[in-house]
Amino acid sequence: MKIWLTRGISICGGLSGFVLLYALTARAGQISYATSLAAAQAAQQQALEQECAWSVTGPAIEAAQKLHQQGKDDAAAAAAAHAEDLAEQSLNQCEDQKKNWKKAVVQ
Amino acid sequence: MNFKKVARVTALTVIATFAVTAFASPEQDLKAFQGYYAARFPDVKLADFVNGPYALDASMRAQWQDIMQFPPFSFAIDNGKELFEKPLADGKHYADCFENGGKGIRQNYPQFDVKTGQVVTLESAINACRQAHGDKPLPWGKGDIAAISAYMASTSDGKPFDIKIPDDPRALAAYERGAQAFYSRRGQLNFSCASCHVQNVGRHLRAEVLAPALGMTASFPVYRSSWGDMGTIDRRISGCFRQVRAEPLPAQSETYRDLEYFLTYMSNGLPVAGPGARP
Repeated sequence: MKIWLTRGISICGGLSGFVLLYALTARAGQISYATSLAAAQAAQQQALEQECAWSVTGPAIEAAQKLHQQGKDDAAAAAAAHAEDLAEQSLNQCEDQKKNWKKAVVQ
Repeated sequence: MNFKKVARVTALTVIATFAVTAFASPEQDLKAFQGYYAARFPDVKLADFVNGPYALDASMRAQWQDIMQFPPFSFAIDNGKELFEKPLADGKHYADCFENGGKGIRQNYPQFDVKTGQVVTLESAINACRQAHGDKPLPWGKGDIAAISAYMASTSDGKPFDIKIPDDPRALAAYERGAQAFYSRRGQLNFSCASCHVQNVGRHLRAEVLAPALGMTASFPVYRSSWGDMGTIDRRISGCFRQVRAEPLPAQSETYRDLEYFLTYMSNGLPVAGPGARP
């Protein structure tokens, strides 16, 4: 009886731990998706205002949102991070070219 | 001459040299730009650059000469003439909006308007004329606006471009912004206009020969086989933006108009050859 009780407690403990870990991972995925998506949208907005947005960034943001709606949280987080990278790179290019375009001028 | 004097003269010379290099005047830019193409393609006459890739590639030129037996843009000229002559909402005509009745003036566009401080392209002037006389503006890029522009360009055939940059800091700023738009890398592919049309001009990009930037605006509007239709310069620029995976700007945005101003100024002295035909 004591053995069964101990085993039961262990199984319940294990299951609770698994459920807790799963919930935490899912929550982390949600947070990382939300953070990356917000960063991607903000950077893309800046890039659009500075007329240096990339045409691939908007569709990448939409793809991340679609995956999130489908409940594919890990894939959505990865896609949002990719969109954030694209938007950031377009801004980096913009800043670089503001300084360096004159180097290409025909002399 | 003492040491201080020598140092001062040297410093001034360095500063002056830097200033000339960093802030070349439009006239100096024009000379360097046209000189670049002349040196790179010594067998091509300067005026021939208005024919784009056909000036550089013999086999393409032969195909183009065949196409020009029955120019695909001739319908647009006829349609444009009809539209041009049709009265506007208040009974006035396009001819009332332009100098010389709108005929033989393509070589002067784009212009810098000192009243508004903006670059005015031929297409933006056409729509401004419509609005001034109670009509709605035409959609940009293709259709009727391309047809009217094609007709107006045809009345200037062969006239040398004479784009002016008035003595106004805003005009120079517009020219500079146009140059910046031309030379700035953009899009995921990290290309500038100059990457293809200056640095790699004449080389093949798949089946296409990269056209020279010199004379590029002279043939617009153009009939492009890939469009199966006529289009204006801003339609083509948007296409280039998409090809390098950059987000295109709105048609006739300030940046597009400034870019057209810079590019056409670079073609000063070359003849109007619009409307034209392109692959």
